[in-house]
Amino acid sequence: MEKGYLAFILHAHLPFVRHPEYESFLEESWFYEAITETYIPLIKMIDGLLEDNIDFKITISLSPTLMAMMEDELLNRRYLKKLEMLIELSEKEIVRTQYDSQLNRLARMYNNLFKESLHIYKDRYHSRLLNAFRKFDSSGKVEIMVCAGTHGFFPLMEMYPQAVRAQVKIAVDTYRRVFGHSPKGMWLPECGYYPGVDNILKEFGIKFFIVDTHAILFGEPRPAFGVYNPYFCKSGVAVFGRDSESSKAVWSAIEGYPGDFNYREFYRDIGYDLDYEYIKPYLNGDGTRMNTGIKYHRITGLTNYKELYNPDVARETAANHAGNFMFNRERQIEYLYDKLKRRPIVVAPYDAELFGHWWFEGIDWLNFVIRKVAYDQNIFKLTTPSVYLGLYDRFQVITPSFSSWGWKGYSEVWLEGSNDWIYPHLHIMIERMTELANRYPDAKGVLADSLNHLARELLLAQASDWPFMMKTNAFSYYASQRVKDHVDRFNTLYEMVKANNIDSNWLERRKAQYNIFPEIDYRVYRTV
Amino acid sequence: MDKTQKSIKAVMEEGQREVELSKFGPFLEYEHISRAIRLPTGYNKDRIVAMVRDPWWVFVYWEITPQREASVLEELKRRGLRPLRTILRVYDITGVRGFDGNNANSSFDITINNAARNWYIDVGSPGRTWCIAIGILAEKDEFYILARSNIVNTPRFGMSDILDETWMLSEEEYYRIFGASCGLDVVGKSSFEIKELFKRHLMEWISSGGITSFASHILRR
Repeated sequence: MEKGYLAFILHAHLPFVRHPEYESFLEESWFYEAITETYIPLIKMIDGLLEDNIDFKITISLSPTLMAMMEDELLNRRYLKKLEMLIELSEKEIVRTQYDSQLNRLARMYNNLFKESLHIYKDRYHSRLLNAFRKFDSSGKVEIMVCAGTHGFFPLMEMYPQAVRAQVKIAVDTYRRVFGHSPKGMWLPECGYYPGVDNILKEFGIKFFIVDTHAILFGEPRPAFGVYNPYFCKSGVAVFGRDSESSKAVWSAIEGYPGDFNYREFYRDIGYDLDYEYIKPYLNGDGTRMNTGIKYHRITGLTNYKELYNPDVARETAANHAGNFMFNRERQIEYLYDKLKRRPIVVAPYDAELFGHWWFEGIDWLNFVIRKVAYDQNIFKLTTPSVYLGLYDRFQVITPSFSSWGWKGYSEVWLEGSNDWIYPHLHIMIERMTELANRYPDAKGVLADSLNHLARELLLAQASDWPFMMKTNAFSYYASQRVKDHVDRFNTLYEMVKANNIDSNWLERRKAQYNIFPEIDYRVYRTV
Repeated sequence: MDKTQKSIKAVMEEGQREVELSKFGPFLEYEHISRAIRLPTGYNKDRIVAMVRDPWWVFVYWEITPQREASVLEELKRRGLRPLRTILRVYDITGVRGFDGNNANSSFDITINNAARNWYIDVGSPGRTWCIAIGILAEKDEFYILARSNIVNTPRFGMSDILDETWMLSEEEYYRIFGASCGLDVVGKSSFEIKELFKRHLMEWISSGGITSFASHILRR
């Protein structure tokens, strides 16, 4: 009998970025890169585990904005073209590097990877990656969680429960449409929790969520199992806390595995390194240098000196790191089993895009861990939060503490000098939305369309990604423009509704441009 | 941002929603995300809104209409009081039921300059309840409120003193399991050592920016 459990939770999310008004748009490449480098390799890994009938469990959170992009015709068409271009580039690279056997081998590796991606994407899943996740969902080995509608950060919405409710409802509705059943778990964006948000989760049938370590440790009354057991909130919704040790092993750039010198260097990409005229057709439409995904070097050391990447050595390193991770979990779980007198659960949540995209070998590592856990030890097993909840009849009841998993553990990432200007606007939008939803409880036709679209603009403006980018000063211009655009167009449409003068052509264009959430219902904002 | 602007023809050729789009004819064009956008500087409201940043800091922003300010100044004039300055009055209302402006546990004032539209307030104590008013301080220590905020709670920082009798551990065991939860090496250490380690861990967290500094977002640049 196993002494405890490990739950891997991969949170996959990107903000809704789709710009039909441009031929090619730089920020859309976040999605394309994530497909090639994370989502397809992850799908390939899970397909392999299922084919080999491995005993495993994994939890994946998919945000509704990411699901919307995965369903979108335009983005999928553009992705296919990108991938075909990438294959063309990798073929040119095979020719260019023909006199250097080491480089040539790497060029062939990429060419094979991309061709395999194309096969998985186009032939196996018919250009709709959600087909893969639906298959995994019904396998019984993969639990798919949902995340809030547009990844809005809940603690900064606390004074407007109807805004939180709207984020939760549209998420649950989207999930039901995609998967045909209700989600059990909800990933709170940035693990942002405030006491009471669980009451809203309960309204929509959510059974559990995940928080950072200190949300549990500072909970009340004092929790008797640390983060190694779930607790119930008074609402009856279960909460799981993140384990620091297993998080640190992967997340930390210094102490974590991804910084190993044998692993591939993220920052050396041929999109920056090669002759401009040669690489230009494979860059963004405006010719800005950017990542292509073809990277030939390993981290090597702490200086700018970089040696060529060796895939065999990197793979070997990933296998060793997997062994180390498993060994540490065995010792940890044995110790906790002894102390807790109950089988512990170690919850290890990560951003999905960490694996493959940032840490190239991360998917290999995960694959090694999962297979080793199944075959090489019997101290612990993999589980999912909802499976674990079925193990015991009783759990302690606590109120977790307000917290997030962001820098410093609270709200500062999303509320500081660079981004605090957005909140007065977002709050007015919520108030105006509520005012109209209360005034028109039963709108029809173009009025209903307008109210639903107002809700869409509000939700899109609330993505936690925008203030995050403003704070980190990465793509901050784009992030500011997105918030301003949604605020401005919300206000325009609000005035049209108030004046009973809706320009339906304009509204249709705007709806076609931001075509997310077809099932949206503005009445969620009603407070009377 | 220099983006390749797309021709109307190209938009039409995108194929997405061809049927719906076709009814707008060839003149359809989407709005550009990079267009110049000017947002309103205010919404003609009198309000101050409080938001919790962390256990020690509360953020407030406000909007006061010139009419509101004029009416308060008028009131002062009528009473023969000279206005001194605009302040934020921060009320600690922990445990107070039905706060009415006069029954706070304590309060302190912050003088703000007239150009400010928001402020980060160092409230200094976790686990308390706060309300913040913006107003004009006049002679004779009279305070005239322009607007009063929503009520917010700063979270506790540290373990709760409230124990659950059904799920009780010895003090030593709590520290051991809390230390393990934070990733501290607790194996083979005495309870005293673990307690010290845990305390130091919390102190470092405050000064360095968190046990979560290794956490999310290293990849999204």
